[in-house]
Amino acid sequence: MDAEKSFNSAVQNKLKKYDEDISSLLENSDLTEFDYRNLAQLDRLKAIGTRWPLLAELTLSQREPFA
Amino acid sequence: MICVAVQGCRGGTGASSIVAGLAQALVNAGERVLCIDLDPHNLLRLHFNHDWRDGHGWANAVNNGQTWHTAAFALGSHLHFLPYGHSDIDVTPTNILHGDDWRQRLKELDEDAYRWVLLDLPASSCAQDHFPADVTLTVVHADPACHALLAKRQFQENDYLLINHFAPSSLLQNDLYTLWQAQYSDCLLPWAIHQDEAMFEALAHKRSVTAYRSDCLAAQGIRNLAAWLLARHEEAA
Repeated sequence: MDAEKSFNSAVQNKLKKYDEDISSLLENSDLTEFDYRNLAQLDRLKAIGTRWPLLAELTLSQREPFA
Repeated sequence: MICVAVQGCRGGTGASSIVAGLAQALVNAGERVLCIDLDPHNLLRLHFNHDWRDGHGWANAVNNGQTWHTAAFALGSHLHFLPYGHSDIDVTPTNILHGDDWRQRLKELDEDAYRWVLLDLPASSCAQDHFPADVTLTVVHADPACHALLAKRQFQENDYLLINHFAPSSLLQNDLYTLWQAQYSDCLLPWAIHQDEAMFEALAHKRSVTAYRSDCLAAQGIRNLAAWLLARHEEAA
């Protein structure tokens, strides 16, 4: 359960960096504090972590880019 | 002269096939290209209709004290290739792939002779020995082995990941692609070269896939790569 939680939080952190177009749009609109999340992408990554244990394990072991 | 190094994340990812196809795609776009095989397997030449028995290459030349580029072969006016060669000496000299040596060697070439130098590097499963190149492409399959090897890899500026033999119908490959898009968003090229039997047939015909079946999916992916490189370096110029 803890591992699943860490995987989810690692994915969430990364997704904040991932959507560059959205990030740029929010920055240009002075909405830098807006907590944007790509829920569809997030759900998909969570499912991947559940489906393939090795992928979840390796993702968690990498400090970058999920730090 | 723009130097592009292509390296498999592990053996069998199809890096040599991509080098050969990319060379042909660049030549088709009117560019002058030199391909150098730095892989002791010495297979790149087979994509260029080279005689299997011909053992000439740069490694023999260096071992015999000759100039390294004397063993280059021409395939038309715009494409030259330099095989690795068969060596009588079984042991490859340890410094033969030293990046600084190659930086020096490439400087010996006439600046106007080629616009592109494509280097086919041996596969590396360890931390990357960074080779002096303007662009380094690491060829991967969307499989767990490559995923595990990538986890150990350090990426530098101008290093890019290219997925080869991608099968969109595979759930695992799609999942890995999605994960890599999130994990390696800065260096993953935004298209993949699709799994295509023509890639293997091309080698069986001793040709690059771009020359063998220019309309196939794999050739399309390689043309995308050539167009991306051309656009990238026109912007830089």
